[in-house]
Amino acid sequence: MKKSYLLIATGIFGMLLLFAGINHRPNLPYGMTNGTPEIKSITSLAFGPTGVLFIGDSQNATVIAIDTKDVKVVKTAKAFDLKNVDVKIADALGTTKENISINDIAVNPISKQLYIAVKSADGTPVLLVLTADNEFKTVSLKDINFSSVALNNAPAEDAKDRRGRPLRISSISDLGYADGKLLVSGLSNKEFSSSFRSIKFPFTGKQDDESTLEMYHASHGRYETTSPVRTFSTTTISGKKYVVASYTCTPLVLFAMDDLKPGITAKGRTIAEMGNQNTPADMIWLKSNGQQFLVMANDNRPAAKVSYQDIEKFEGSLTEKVATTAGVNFTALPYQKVLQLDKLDDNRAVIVQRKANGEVDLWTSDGKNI
Amino acid sequence: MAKIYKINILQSAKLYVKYSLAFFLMAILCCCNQDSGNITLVYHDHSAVGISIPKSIVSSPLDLGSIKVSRSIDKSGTAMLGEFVEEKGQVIFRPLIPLTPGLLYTIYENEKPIGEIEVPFPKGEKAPLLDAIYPESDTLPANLLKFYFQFSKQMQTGKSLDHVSLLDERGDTLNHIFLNLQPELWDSTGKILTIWIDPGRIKRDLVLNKKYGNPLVQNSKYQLVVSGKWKDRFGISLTKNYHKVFVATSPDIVMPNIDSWQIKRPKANTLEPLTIDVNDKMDHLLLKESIIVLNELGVQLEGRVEVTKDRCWKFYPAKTWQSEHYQLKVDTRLEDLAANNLNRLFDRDLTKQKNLNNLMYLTKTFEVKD
Repeated sequence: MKKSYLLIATGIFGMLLLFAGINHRPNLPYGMTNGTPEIKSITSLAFGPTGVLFIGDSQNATVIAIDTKDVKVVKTAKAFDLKNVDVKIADALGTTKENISINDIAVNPISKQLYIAVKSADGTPVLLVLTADNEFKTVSLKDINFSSVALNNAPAEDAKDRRGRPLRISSISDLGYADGKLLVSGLSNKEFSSSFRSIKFPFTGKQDDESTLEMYHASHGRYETTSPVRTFSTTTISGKKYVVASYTCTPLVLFAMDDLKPGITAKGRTIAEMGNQNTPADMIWLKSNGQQFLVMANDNRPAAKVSYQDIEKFEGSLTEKVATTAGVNFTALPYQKVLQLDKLDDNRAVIVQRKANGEVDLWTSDGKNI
Repeated sequence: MAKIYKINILQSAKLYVKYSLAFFLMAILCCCNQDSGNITLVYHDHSAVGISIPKSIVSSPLDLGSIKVSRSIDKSGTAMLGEFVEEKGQVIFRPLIPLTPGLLYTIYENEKPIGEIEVPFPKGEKAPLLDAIYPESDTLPANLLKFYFQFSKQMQTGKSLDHVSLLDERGDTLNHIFLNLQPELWDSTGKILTIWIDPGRIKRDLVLNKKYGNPLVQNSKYQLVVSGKWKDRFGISLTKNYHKVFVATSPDIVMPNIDSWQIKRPKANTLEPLTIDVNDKMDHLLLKESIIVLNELGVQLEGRVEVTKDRCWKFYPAKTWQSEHYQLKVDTRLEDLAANNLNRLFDRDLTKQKNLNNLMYLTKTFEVKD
């Protein structure tokens, strides 16, 4: 009898040892693995849940989610103010301002630190963080927790376009995160087409969790294009979630997120046409005097804002002929050549702007001036 | 005589062993002690990716935290971001991006300069060339959407529009004619750039199109200029300015049609090329990759494709043609110069083309005879 107990105990120990051997890795958040992701370019940034930063790598047609572990809560964000930010970044990288470009910026909504994607003239990507003390630090991309999703290699039929083939993205124009989904808009360097992808996060690689869509919109109800989306944001109107997309051919279009389903051609409602060369390169929602505004930045023209109420009220689509910019009213802001824009908090934006004298400054709005 | 000869051989052998030992000892010493006292550059793939600092010029014991590198011209002495490591008896500084040719760098220990080094321009590197501009034709539709620029080397990116301009007949530069997309649309090799003419001006019935018309005016002559100041990723400029002169013709608002293709059939048992005149000016890159040839068994033929004059597609088979029927399988994503593809127009007139074609491929059969 004693011998059988001993045998059972030995067996249990053996099993425990076996499982201890298999399950030796700590559980990483969001299904991530630890290692060094292959990142060839950093062209877009967007924050997801709890310090997760999505990095759009256009050259690899991949989005990498990294755990920044930058989760120390800062309730009142200090304003960023750094003149000649391009010169200062170039100094920190040991080169001249002509040899770098600022590809994107993203404020960590938890820590309020500013993440900056920089590319050197030879194409080397760099991810920096600007602390509240205006100090640049390197964000290491070695031995980190990450997961990734390849955009051109659709996992299954459902994740292909409605004619059943993978989309070809050569550049990621924008990234966003809403309702547990990563949203990606892409451009092709060859065909003129719209590709918008919705991917459940954490990434599962399953076909049901990814959908690729073609988004059509018409001008004045007549000429329809599947033009690429340049930038987008999300909002809720009357309890329904929407994507507000800005197209390379100028219209501002609303898509109901419920309509973004695989295999269905999504048709958008054009709510405004922007002026000449005024396709926004960035857009964010800000509050001012109790009202919400969609603030749009452009590197050629003044930044502009549209009232949420105007968008909400605009029931129809642009169907009538108009002489100037049409649809919802937008107000031009006294800020030209805004190169980058992100939201610091509900009321303030962080802005990278090329000034009239050619200098590039980083500054923060005061909650009233935008 | 034989004895003396034997002694000589023995003496020579002794000397050989002595000199060999001395040689190996010196070689080992050289390998072990790379500290020549000079600051040197570390190269990878023709780029200076690090600075090697001999330990003999830094204090002992070594404190990596006390060393910094800065651009010599940077009077504030901003510490460059990067990592210091000890390697083979040297202190190696690896900056985040390659060091810039032509710049001077200073190494500091405890804020005191201990040496400096200049990064030379690469020797023996050939200057980059602009191999081709597509489309090749000298008459282009007024609603032309894009140009491709094909270089011999990877170029500096991010400020491409500073180097490309379109001049009218008077030689005046047309402002804001191209869409400033960031990131730019480079192909995966980093050698082919796509630049779009502002689609907001091209799409029919948009405010911009109605107010200003197409960016290109029918029957007008233009000159596309690429500046010789554009540098490759090593900082070497193009050798000259490049020009392309063309005349704008009537807008192309007709979908390309494969029924109008003229096929020049090769003879059986030869390696003659299959030549197709696609009867429309097409997108060079898409035309090159959108057509495949299948044999009677449905197997794709191997071979080389050549596209000339925007409309002539030639296929050089790897094996001789057989006397049988072949099939051309054409991807419907193939676009003409105004981005009309085989399924739809760039801007589909909903009153005329009510149903969108939904085909993935179109096919066309031809017969090869003796």
